[in-house]
Amino acid sequence: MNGNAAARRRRAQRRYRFIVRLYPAEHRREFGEQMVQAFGDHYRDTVGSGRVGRWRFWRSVLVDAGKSLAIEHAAEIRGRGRTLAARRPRPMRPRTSPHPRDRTTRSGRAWEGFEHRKGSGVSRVRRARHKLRRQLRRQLRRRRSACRPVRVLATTRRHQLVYRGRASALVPPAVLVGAALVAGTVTGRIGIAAILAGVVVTAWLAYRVRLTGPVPAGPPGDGPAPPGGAGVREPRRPLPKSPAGSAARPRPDQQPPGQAVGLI
Amino acid sequence: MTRDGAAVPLTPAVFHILFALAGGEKHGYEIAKQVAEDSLGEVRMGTGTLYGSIKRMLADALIEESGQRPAPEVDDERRRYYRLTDQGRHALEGELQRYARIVAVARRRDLLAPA
Repeated sequence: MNGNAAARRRRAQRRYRFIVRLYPAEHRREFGEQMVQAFGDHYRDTVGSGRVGRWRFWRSVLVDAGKSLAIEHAAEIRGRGRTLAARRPRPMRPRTSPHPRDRTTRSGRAWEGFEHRKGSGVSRVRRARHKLRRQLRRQLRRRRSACRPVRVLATTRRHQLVYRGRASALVPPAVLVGAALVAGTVTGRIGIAAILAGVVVTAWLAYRVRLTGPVPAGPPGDGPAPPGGAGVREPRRPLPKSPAGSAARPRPDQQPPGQAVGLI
Repeated sequence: MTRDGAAVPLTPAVFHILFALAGGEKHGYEIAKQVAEDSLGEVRMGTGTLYGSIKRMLADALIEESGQRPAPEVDDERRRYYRLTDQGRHALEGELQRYARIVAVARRRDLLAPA
């Protein structure tokens, strides 16, 4: 009996591990194992002890997972947006004269306070730390994007719609949408489930599908791209004229026609 | 509590986790059990919600990971134990005082029966 219960618990933990895989990578690395462990304890205390039925237990787990997955992915996307905003260059403001917006203040103390905060040692350390963190994130992102395969979904004269990532990456959002819809059907909250599925699909599209910039290409009929040119075509140019006398000299690798090459 | 230290109302999940940890350090599932017990079974925190809240509370320095572990025979090394920081304790006290003030006002207005 105990062996059966333990086996059932391990099976449930394996299933839950699959749900944990849907969380953002950072969250999964930090808390994945703990989540699986806590889930196992919860399963033992509820389903294992017969206090709660298996269906009811899984329904609550799926509802909780759907909600927290949406929250975690939204937080991750927000964090990424913040990093991009920090990368954008901002216009410089003079330090000696107040900003036009602050001229309307009574004493201009807000500006003085701002100056004081900007110059303090703590903020300098904090800014340096932020800068280092940004650089590390940028490097990590560059490495990741260098490894990520890209598939072109559609091409126009000017743009390409590309899918960044492996085809297997389609599985987690599909499972997530399926789980949301199943949980919505079971709990009778189809509307919330549809909104959740919509959020997942939108987040997935925003993350994986990109409209790239103009595709550099010459006028039609230029022939295939040159090897090693990374798909960049150049218009045909006339061949350079050979210097005088060089036309009569044969190329070193040229063989006379109609002769076999002898192997020694 | 924000990172700047300004007191703001806590979310129910954060409040319940802080309240559960006020009794001593606990690991994730123990926190969930304590929350269910403290709320007389009204608040049941799922694993996803629990660890999402823990992540944000660690980032806001309301809780921290505890270095102390129980005896090896009862310990599972995959578990991590959490405890309140000073900031977390202040945030919890501030929130409890806020509740107490609201309850006092409710009693004055006869919205709540006297204790």
